[in-house]
Amino acid sequence: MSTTESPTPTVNPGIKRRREDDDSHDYKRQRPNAVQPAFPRLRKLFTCLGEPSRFALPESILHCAKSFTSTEVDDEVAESLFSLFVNISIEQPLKVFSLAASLQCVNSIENTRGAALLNYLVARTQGYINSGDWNKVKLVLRFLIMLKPMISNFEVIFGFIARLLEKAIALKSVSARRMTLAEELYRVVLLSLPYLAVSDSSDETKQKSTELFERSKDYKYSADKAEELLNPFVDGEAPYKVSDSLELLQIQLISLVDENWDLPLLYDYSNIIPASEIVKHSIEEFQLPVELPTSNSSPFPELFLKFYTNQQVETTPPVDRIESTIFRDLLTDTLINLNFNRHEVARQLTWFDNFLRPGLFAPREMSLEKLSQAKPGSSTWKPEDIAVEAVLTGLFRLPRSRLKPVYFHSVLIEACILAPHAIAPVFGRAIRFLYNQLEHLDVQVIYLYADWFSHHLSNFGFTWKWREWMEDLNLNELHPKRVFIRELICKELRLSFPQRITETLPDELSEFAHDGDDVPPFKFALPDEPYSEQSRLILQNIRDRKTPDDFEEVFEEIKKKSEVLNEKADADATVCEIFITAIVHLGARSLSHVESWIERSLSVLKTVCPEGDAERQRQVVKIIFNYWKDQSGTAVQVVKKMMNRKVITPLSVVEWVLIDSDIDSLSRGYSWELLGFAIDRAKLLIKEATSLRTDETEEGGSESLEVERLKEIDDSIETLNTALHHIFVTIVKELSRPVQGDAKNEETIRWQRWWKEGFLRAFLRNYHADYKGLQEPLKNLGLTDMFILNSIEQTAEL
Amino acid sequence: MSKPRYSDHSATRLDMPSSYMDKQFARESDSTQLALQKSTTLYVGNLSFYTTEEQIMELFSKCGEVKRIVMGLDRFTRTPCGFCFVEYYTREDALDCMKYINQTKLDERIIRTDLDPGFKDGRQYGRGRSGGQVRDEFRDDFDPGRGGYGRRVDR
Repeated sequence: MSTTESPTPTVNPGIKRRREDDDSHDYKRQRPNAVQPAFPRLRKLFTCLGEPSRFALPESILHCAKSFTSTEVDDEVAESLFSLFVNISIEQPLKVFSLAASLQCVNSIENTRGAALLNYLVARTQGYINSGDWNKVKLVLRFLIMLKPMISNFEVIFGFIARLLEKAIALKSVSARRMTLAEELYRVVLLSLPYLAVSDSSDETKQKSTELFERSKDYKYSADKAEELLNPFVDGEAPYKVSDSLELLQIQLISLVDENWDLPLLYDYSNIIPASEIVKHSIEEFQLPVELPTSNSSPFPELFLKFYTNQQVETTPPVDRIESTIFRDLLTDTLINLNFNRHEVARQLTWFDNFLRPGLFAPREMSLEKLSQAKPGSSTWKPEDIAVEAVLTGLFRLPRSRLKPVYFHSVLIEACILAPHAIAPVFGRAIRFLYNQLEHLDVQVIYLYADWFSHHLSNFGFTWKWREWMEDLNLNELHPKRVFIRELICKELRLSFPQRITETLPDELSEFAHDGDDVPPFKFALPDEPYSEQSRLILQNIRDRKTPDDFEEVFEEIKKKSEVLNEKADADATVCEIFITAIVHLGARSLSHVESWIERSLSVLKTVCPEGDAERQRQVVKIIFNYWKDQSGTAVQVVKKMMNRKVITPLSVVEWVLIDSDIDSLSRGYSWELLGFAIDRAKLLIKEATSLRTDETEEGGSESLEVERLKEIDDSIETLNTALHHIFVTIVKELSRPVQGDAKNEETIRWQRWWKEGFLRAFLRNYHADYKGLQEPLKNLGLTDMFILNSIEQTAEL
Repeated sequence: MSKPRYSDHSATRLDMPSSYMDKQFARESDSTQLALQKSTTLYVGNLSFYTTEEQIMELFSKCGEVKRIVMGLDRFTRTPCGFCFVEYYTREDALDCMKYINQTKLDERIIRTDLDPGFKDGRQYGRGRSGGQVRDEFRDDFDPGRGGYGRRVDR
């Protein structure tokens, strides 16, 4: 574009002037908003605060503040921004420190914005208090604490913490048992104390914090029997002492007080904010409702788990230091609250040392060898280890993780993509640690571990150094290490296919990845089989969608033949076996196929496997597993479909696993899955029936019909409840049955007992709420095993 | 407090329809828009032609129970052509899938999931002239998982 010449129009008579003739390109559609709207621009600046950048941190902090104050914002944008700040403090709590520093700069430039911000923060905190979201109260309160220099009446904050503490103590003193709300409040108090000292190192603050802490000792923390059930390490064989995170926090604070609250956690912001220009504002008191609400539905104590211990160098803070809890708390809140963007979570976790004081951690990507040779006095804390440990703690939380396990998988996958050199060795150590602990791990943790690791490997070409585990192939078949290798490969196969997995395994392991038929044959229809002719007819009839009556003839033929062949044989069982195998075989092409064949043949299925015939239903499960013996994953899905279509009941699945199957099958992943599915299904049926009852009651209708209908529904709910109870009684009864055997296979018996106890422990723990009313009937089973009696007693406390 | 004009989350939410879906359905009727907001169905793309329903089930049931899987088929050959629809029982599971499964690997390919207004009969077929997906006709690379080179039928 020419800018030097004056834009005199060229005179060109007779020729039509065209657009291109003009030297300027002004005809381009003008963009109405050349300046980016305020909110997105400021959002970008503030959300990136503290992240790696080409500017030094003080510069970024000031730049953010100035950009904010130099922008005219209307009320709506201002409120959106304040809301964004609060959300940063909740979703990305690692950033709250730099954010608070920047906002103090805002306040020193334009103090009305500081005042408005404080008002907003107090209102938001009050909102969370009213809704009982105590974790968010903790996070926004921390934000306020970090803004301490702006607050003229900071005693409001001290007073609020003191009142929370009083409430917690009062609530706890009522009962000797655990109380979720009291624990939540107590956690808010204890986790706020260190930040009081961090925000202001004056003696006055320290003294007030100490006073609060002394008072907090009145909270009578009681160790809980149930904790034993939540420990991922069984038999008291943990590689370190697993403690409740609250109990630990108390211990850590004692030593922090002893060190006079010396906690150099943060970057030194004091040079950035001009102390003299600070205008202080007063904030309003918080109102505590008389009846405190809680939105936390999880009544379980949180245990502090570690996956990096007893290494040549301690790469994580020792458990008695407050830093271990502070890091874990910051990382866990990021992990849980920012779960809607796993890429961002992985970024923050991988680089979380950025947000805290330089020098607090060892440099990233440093190997353990190098770390062990580090200068004395320099930190050996590896940020990657600390971050991964927090994710693994989330994943292996018992009885269930706060978010679906797959979320934690995805964060770890993301972290590995993001910083392979830094993260891969860290994973390697965690994986080996868990592997070495396998015989001391809870059964559920073993399956969670196999599920995670197989999913992880499926994202990274299935490469793993299998060789280092080869020796363990000589172990007993039921040894958890050997079982783990088998189950891991089984899970890999389900995500991939045999030829591919075999490529990645050493020869010794290829037997685990054996290659079954894609579509196993329908063996009854093979030419030499006695029922060959009838079987083929059945296949044809199913394909032709014949009615149950049309099958009558061929079923009779089979029955007659079976009597001729073998007098003892159960003719109905033979019919059932052939028919079910035919359905499964027709549906072998894909899950959709089997689904549609089941649906089409539902009426015939009900005749060969009548409702209420428990034995026949158990046989159906057996037939499915016989057909898919090489692909148990598919078998599980088919069983599930049969259960969903009500061909078989959940109880029959449980009975097949626990009564009909070999005891060794307890170590199979599918047994674990089937039991879980069956219980969930039984619970879902009750839920559906109950909601149906509510619908009917609301709808109204003619009086007499309604009564009849309600009675019907009530009866079915009753039946379903009985079925669920029956499931639990069966589980306890069968799993507590003593293992029989002779001295020759002592080791096998030991492991059989190990798996049984592990299953029992896990099911009692996971479903304790569902069998609450069953404590008595369970005791009446005449159980003598101390382990089981103990476990039942422990679950009563959950 | 009134609802702010802008999303005030501190990072992008991954459980939103992609811009492709936004564009596709922007001019659709309100009912489609509403369907998209309530849908429990996901479109899944960039699958290998050889990935089976069982594999898809194995991965996607990590986010919750799957109601059904509809495999995308070549219009002419009726063989898988690299996409599918996964329907969950609940909206929450579908959103979790957007957050946790989208852009991870299945059968060693990075798959793409997107919220979908719901499966309708006919949508299981490829819309390309070759019978498969349109994207496979504009491809120059060799992709062994998706039938080798792109199939330009018009040449």
